[in-house]
Amino acid sequence: MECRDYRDWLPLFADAGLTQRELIRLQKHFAECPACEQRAREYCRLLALLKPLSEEVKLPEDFYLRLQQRLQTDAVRSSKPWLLWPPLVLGTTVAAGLLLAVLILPTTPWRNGTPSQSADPAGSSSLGRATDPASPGTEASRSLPSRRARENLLESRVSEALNLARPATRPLTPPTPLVTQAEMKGPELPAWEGIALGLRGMGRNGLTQPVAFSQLAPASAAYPQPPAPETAAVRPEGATPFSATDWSGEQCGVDVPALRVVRTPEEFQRLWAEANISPTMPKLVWGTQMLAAIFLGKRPGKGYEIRLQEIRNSGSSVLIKYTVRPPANPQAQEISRPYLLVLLPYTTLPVELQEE
Amino acid sequence: MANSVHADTELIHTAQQGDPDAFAELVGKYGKYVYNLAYGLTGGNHAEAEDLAQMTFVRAYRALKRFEGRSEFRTWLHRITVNLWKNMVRSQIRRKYFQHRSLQASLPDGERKLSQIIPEKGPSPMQRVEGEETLGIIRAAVDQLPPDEKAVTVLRDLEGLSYEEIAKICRIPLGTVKSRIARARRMLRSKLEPILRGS
Repeated sequence: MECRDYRDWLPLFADAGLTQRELIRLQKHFAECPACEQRAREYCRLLALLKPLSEEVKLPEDFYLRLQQRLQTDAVRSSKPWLLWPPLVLGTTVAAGLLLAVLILPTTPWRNGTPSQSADPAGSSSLGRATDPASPGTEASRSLPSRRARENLLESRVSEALNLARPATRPLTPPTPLVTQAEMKGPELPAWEGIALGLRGMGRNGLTQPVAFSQLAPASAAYPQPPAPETAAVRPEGATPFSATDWSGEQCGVDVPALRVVRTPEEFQRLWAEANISPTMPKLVWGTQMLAAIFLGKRPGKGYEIRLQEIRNSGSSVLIKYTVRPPANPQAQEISRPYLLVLLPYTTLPVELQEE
Repeated sequence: MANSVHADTELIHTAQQGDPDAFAELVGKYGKYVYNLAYGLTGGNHAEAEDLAQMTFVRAYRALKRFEGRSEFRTWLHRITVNLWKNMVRSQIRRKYFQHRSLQASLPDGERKLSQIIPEKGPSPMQRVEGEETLGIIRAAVDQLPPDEKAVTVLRDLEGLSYEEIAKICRIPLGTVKSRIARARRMLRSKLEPILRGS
């Protein structure tokens, strides 16, 4: 064998990728060929260079929450597949309608050339047949939604378990969720439904409140994006729904550090006008939810990030703990006005802040 | 290890029966492995890694009932991750291709083409050593490998999986795993030659 034949083995020499036989032959060759030995050493060094890349990366602290949302979104999306493929389904529906019409026509008065005596059009007649429990096709049409409903229920329960039951059930301890039901034990708070926002604006409550879901948790929210408050501020009305990333950001209309607690739609209107975050207001379920808005005021530099750490109900107050990640270059010319909106279950207790 | 596999079997079975706690436990157990693999595949991009890892678990949840236990659960999850990542890469390549075509086509004659304005491959490794962290260069070199070679490199050299495990994950013969790894290392050696010589 010549050098070039051995060279295919050299990259595998360093990590036992060769058989015993190949290894012995290669080592014999090294005795005769220092160049190949040198090259084999380079591959060993290459693996050493790659070593730092193999260091374990910690899961993002809100990984489970985002996964919970993803599962919910997936459940919603998969329960309405016709939304994803309208042309295909439209075509199928038309074809099915035609087929049904052909099957139904012989039994309807239209066959004899007389208009139907009922006011219903043919479509509604066929619909009536399809929903008839005695019809042979009914079993299939009934079983599909019920199976889907069961799956959705299961997915909801999985999501719930990911967020709420995890600390009790998991032997290996992944990052603890920032807010758990247990942490929000309080006489005045309603059932805690995984509510806590922040973390680059992720709206958890959107998962459990169908009314707010479309506004607070669009499908794109599962993809972490850098906050883009500037674009949100200039976004034309109605062009884009309120983005989940708007729950926190670097630019708003509030110049001084402040905490605003909003419990009514009127207060929310005023806050929204003052904060000037986005033209589109998210929907909240008033009476069940309330909002705490944290404004840091004018700060030099760009790249701030406010992270929600914990919400604790002591029984006499609700304490919101958060951290502020400063920008890499605080000397920059830009001025930021960082903010974070936190959705809370409705309570009359005072809200307090604690920066950590 | 055997106990772990046994515990997994029970957990998976329970999850397949519809117990959400069992699935949550599996996510808790394997989340970090999936995330680390995703992190390697996406070139150290946290946002993309998280997205990929979550897509993996959503896909795994959907397909859980079809998991028959013929491979280890971790291997199965890794296979999903790698396949999803390859799909992502393919769609990115398609997008880039069409964008590139349209930009080139819109340039009038006589004007500089896009490729003349933006160099296709940045500065040479030697030039970049001066300005960037060595680790960044190494990661970039891995990131620039072709998808098949990158997948096996990440699985072997970053995740430390055996050649046999990689063969199962990628569903390719052992010999193909070895040849892909050898090819990837040759490419890396060539790209990182200045650093290798200097170290």
